[in-house]
Amino acid sequence: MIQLKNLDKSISQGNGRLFILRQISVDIAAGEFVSIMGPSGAGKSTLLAVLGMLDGDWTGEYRFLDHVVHKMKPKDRVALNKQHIGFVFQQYHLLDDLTVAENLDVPLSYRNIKKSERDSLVADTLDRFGIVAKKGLFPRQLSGGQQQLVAVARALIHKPSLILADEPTGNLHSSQGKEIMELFTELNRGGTTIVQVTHSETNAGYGKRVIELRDGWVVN
Amino acid sequence: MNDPANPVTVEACFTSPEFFTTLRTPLERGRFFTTHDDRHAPAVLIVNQAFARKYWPGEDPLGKQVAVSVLGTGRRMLGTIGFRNVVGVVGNMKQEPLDVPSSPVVYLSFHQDETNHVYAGLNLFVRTTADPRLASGTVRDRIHSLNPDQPLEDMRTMDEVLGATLARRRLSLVLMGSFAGLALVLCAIGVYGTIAYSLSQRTREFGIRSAVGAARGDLVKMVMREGLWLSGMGVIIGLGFSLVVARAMEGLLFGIAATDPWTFVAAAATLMSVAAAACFTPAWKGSSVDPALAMRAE
Repeated sequence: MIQLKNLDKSISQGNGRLFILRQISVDIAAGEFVSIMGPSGAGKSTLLAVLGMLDGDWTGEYRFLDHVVHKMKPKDRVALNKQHIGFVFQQYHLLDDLTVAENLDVPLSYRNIKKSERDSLVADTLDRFGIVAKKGLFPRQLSGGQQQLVAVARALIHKPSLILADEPTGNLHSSQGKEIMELFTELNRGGTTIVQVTHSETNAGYGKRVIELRDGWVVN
Repeated sequence: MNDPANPVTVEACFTSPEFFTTLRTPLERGRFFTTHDDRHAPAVLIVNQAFARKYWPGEDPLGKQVAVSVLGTGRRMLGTIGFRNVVGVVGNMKQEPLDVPSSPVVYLSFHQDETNHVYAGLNLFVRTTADPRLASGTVRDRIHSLNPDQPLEDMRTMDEVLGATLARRRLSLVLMGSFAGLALVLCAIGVYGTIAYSLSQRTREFGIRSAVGAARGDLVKMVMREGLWLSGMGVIIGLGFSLVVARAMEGLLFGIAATDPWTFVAAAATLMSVAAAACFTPAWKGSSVDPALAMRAE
């Protein structure tokens, strides 16, 4: 599903350049559950942003399914992201002024889906995640675990084939974290490819493979 | 009209046969004066449209007879009352301020003047093919060749006459236009500033929306929609106030109502265009946010 070859990511610093990712060559097959680990500043979140096409400022080769991403225009990358990728973030990143139901509708509103169909998808997702009772509440009225549950629901509502999760349990109690990881495992069993960034050996244990980064290099 | 008990008083001008052609006054009915309209010919009269409409509505003025007495300073009668035949109707000429409707005027032939030209003054109109300012010397020489003692004053081009008439109104217009333009610029700066500030507070939101699938165009559309909705509300409220305040401007207007609907539509369209332009730049800038950075900035 994902093939990275000699991918570099750097930013200018003073007269030179600071490399954040160096010569990254990674293959991730469809249906895998992969964890990216490493110390802070190793480039884990940056790699996730590159995989999710949120960051287009890099060099090297990136193939996603049948698409040659490194040759695609930014607009086409956004379209590819829209079609195949869902994001889950450590800080949930729900929109504060929108209710739970409205937050779930946001990704659908950018996907040329009729309003009636969107409403139906939101209702199904609320039901599937057991948050129907919360649909009219705002994020600040939810616990951290509930917010992350909504964030996962939002990432899945358009049925992506790849979930990218950046420390999805980082702000949760262990019991809430366990629930989220079990949810990921269940999704992975259903065929969704999952790539997560984590510091937790326990969470990495839910995956089938670990990619370890250090100072921008893949070391394992 | 010819009732001596109820005389009608209107503006009157003694004119030469070439007066109307020199000023290019349109002839609506009948004829202009000719050189044959002298003291030996039947006394004739030309009226303007305002006169015809006021005193003979729906009737043909040609051939009507009017008893005319010419009044001088202090309403002193000059000459005797005599009947004159209406031989022509001409278009209205502006002799009053622009916002005052044309009043009825009668024109009498200069060569049928029984007052022996007892006037406060005489206006001579000259049409030139070249720049009229260069012709003043020639005109002056020509007059003095006929009568060297003839005093001449106030020689002006028609543009200068019109300019002097409109000067005060033009100043008001320039001042009001300048203030309106300034208000428009302030409005654009205000909208730009408000939208730009609002977007600076929404960087994270834009990052999230980008991460869940929003393209740059989606974000621009969203900001434009919000900005134009706010501006639209402002314009609607402003139009309401304008309808009330516009009454105070009636004295400055000519040929247009203070509540002219197309003016309001044009003003609203202009304001919305300015608001759209003021929204677009910050919307375009704001939508270029790097989603990864925006979300990390929390």
